[in-house]
Amino acid sequence: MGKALLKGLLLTLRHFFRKPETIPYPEVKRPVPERFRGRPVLLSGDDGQPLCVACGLCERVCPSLCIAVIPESGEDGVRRLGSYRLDLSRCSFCGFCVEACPVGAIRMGGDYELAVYRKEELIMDAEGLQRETVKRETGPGRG
Amino acid sequence: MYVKLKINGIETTVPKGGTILAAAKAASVYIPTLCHDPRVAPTGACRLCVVEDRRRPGQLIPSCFTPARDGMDIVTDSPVVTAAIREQLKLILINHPLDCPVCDKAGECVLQELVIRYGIVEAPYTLEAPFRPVDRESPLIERDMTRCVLCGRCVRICAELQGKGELEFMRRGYGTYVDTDGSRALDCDFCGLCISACPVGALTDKLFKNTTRPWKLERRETACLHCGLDCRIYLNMEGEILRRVTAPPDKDGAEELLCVRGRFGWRAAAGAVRRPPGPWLRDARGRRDATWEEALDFASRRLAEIAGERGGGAVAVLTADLLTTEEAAVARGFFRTFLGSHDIASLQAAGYRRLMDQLDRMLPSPPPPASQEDLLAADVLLVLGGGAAEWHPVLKPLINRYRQGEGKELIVISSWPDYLFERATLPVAVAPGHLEGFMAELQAALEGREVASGLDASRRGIDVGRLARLVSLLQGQGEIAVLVVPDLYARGDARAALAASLHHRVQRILPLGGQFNSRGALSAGFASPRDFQDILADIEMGRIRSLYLIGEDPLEDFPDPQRVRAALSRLDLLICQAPYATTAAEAAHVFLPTVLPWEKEGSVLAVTGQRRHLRKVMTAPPGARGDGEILEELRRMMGDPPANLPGRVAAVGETGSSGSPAAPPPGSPAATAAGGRGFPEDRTSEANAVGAEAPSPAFPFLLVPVPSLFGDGLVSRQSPELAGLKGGLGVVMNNDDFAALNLKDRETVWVATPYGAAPARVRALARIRPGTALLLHAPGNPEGLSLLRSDVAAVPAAIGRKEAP
Repeated sequence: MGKALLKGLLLTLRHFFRKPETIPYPEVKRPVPERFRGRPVLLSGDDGQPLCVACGLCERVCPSLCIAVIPESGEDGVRRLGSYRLDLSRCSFCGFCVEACPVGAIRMGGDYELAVYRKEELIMDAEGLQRETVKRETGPGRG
Repeated sequence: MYVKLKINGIETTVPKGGTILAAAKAASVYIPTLCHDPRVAPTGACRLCVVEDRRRPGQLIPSCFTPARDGMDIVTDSPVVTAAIREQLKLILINHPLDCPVCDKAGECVLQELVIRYGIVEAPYTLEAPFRPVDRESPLIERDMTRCVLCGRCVRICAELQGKGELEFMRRGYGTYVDTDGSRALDCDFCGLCISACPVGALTDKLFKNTTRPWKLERRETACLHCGLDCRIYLNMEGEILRRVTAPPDKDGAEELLCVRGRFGWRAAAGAVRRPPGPWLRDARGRRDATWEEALDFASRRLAEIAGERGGGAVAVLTADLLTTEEAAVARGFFRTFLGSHDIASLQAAGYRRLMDQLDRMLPSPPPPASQEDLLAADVLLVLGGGAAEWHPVLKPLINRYRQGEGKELIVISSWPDYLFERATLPVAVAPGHLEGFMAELQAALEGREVASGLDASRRGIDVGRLARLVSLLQGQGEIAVLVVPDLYARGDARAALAASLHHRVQRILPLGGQFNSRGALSAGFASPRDFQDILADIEMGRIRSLYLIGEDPLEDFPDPQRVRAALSRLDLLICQAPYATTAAEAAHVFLPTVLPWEKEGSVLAVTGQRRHLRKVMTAPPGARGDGEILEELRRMMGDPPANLPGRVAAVGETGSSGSPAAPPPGSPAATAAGGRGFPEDRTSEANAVGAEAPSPAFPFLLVPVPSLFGDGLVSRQSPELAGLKGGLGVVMNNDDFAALNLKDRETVWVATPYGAAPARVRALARIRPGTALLLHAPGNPEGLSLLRSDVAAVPAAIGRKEAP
């Protein structure tokens, strides 16, 4: 009995000196795979503004109707983004919006920590959607 | 005569002269088109509608303008045809930017649909893009010609239907583009037909621009509010937000016609700033907001007091015809039967009601409804009075369609060169002020009566040759339809009499100038021989103590606002029940906000006699109530009819006996028939004899107030877009007069009449008679109204740069 106990303890002791298999989440984040579909991200241009031209195709294609794009006229009279709203509580992370986007202004991001205290925080505007905390090891083709 | 042919093996027939495209449509076979618009003549510019005859393989036929012939065996989907269409699409795409994501047309773009349908994914040709203008300066319509595919639909519809020819092809060959002359901003009727015709996003609606996407819109059918033609329109709603107005397709699938008011005037009903949130009261303590209960209680109490003390005759009513027919019946029951009021008049539809009333009395049977098709079917269209197409702008494309028919005659008798006058086959110009006299004489001459002065054509400034042709056309064999057009403020009684005297030879008589539901209001029994002029005199004499305004504003819609204001201040009770808080609302003792016709359900009767039932298509503002609802509530609160009313007994007797409009109260017909006797100014009734006062050295011009294309009605005036197009009071002069005064186009000048002076923007027109000037946009403009007097077709005026005397 004592021998069996020692054998077990030895196994445990051996693991103290090995490289750990777990990571100290949340201090350390797990990297996400290349084709991971996390929270959608609006890509920004050099001026920090979203690349989105407010064509509304993502809104049209979205199967869970969680996107609302409101366009406005820019100074040059061309359509530009007025406001962008994405309701994460309804988003099914299908990625259709990314496929539909004619200008590559949206992609599926790496963020997966989406827990919030209030549901309202899940309704995100353009500014919130432009931020991304989890970086991928290698990004997908777009972005 | 029909032609028999086969389309893709399907036997079909088409009337002789019909195109292969029409035959394919009858056979339900799809043929792609881009430059084809069923409203205008085909031109064959895009070459996408090519088909092949099996008997002549390889030879491509443009189907949109090739007439079908007997025995044709057409194929629309052979490999040769499909390859040709694909190639043609690629060629069109050379000069079409791929900016669909930011183009407003995306989703309803014909080119986009065709490219997807034919699977064009590559753009094999590249060429340097030629110069194409972009115009973002014009009001309401944006032109981005880089997107233009040169189909010419806008050019054709503007010239053929609207008759403006504002857009034209510029340059030749590869450098061709569509533009205005001199590349200026648009200065046209802004009917928007070019927008409705454009298959791509080259011509777009500025109000709609960058607000939403067409696939998010729900179309709700209703009727346009801006005139009495009640054109069918689609409200394009995104949820509960109105985004634009489009025309529904007619029975042949072609888009119907709209005018500037219908297409761009919708912000009068959606987002108008003058719609108050709730009722208010004004009493000794000043104006204060009130609840509906308070306001209705106050109104019913005061109405009962006045009607009880002085009889129902002391209450007069003015209604704009925004009531549905059902509400009009409620209003008639409340005012005529219950209160015993004699006077239900209108301001905006005064001319129309007077015409209808006269025709009713003079014709053996009421005028039969005249639909647009009836007008198009006539051989001779006789227009009595100027301004038909200004009262009802959709008449412009309709009359142009009429004129395209063979042997069609358009006779316009007018004292100013309005739109139809300039396009008439027989324009008869009569000097301002002589129109009434001329028509009376013409009627006498046609009836074979002796005319005292003979038909003294030269005295009235009429060409004798034209007069002879007019008489011969009226006595000829052709089918005649008559449009009777009222003046803006004068009572044009002779034209109704002339129309009525022709009734045995005339197919249709259509009085114009009606508002939204004017005909419905008359059918509900609003007819009254007395108009506001008589009511005003009665108010001044103290016979009328209370005025109930339903959507009308005498301070904004009647000449001489100072006199009206003084009269209104003598009233014991002024109730203003209207969708908008206009000038009179500020003076009212009670203001009751109401809903607009789009916000309620009911039936309307267009001036053409077409009855329509309208659904509620928009949410009403929370504080507003329906007109019928308010009147029913007032009646309920008043309980028994006010007792001891001398006028009431008569009113019940006359309305109870038949459904016909009530006869005028005893004593009044004689006073009114004389044309406003008892009017404080004798000059006015004198002037009425000739319809205008003579010019004098101090006032060398004759100023004729005329209706505006952009809408004079209360609803039209609430639209910021239409108000912007009007640009305030306007005066139009003869070119030579204009040059003699050394004026600049659209310069602000002073217009002075014996009654007042006002600044106005001046423009010149060659065809106006020298010495005559037209006054535009006076309704709703207190300064403009102060220049005028009611019942006068023209007033003497001075126009100049200087400050008014």
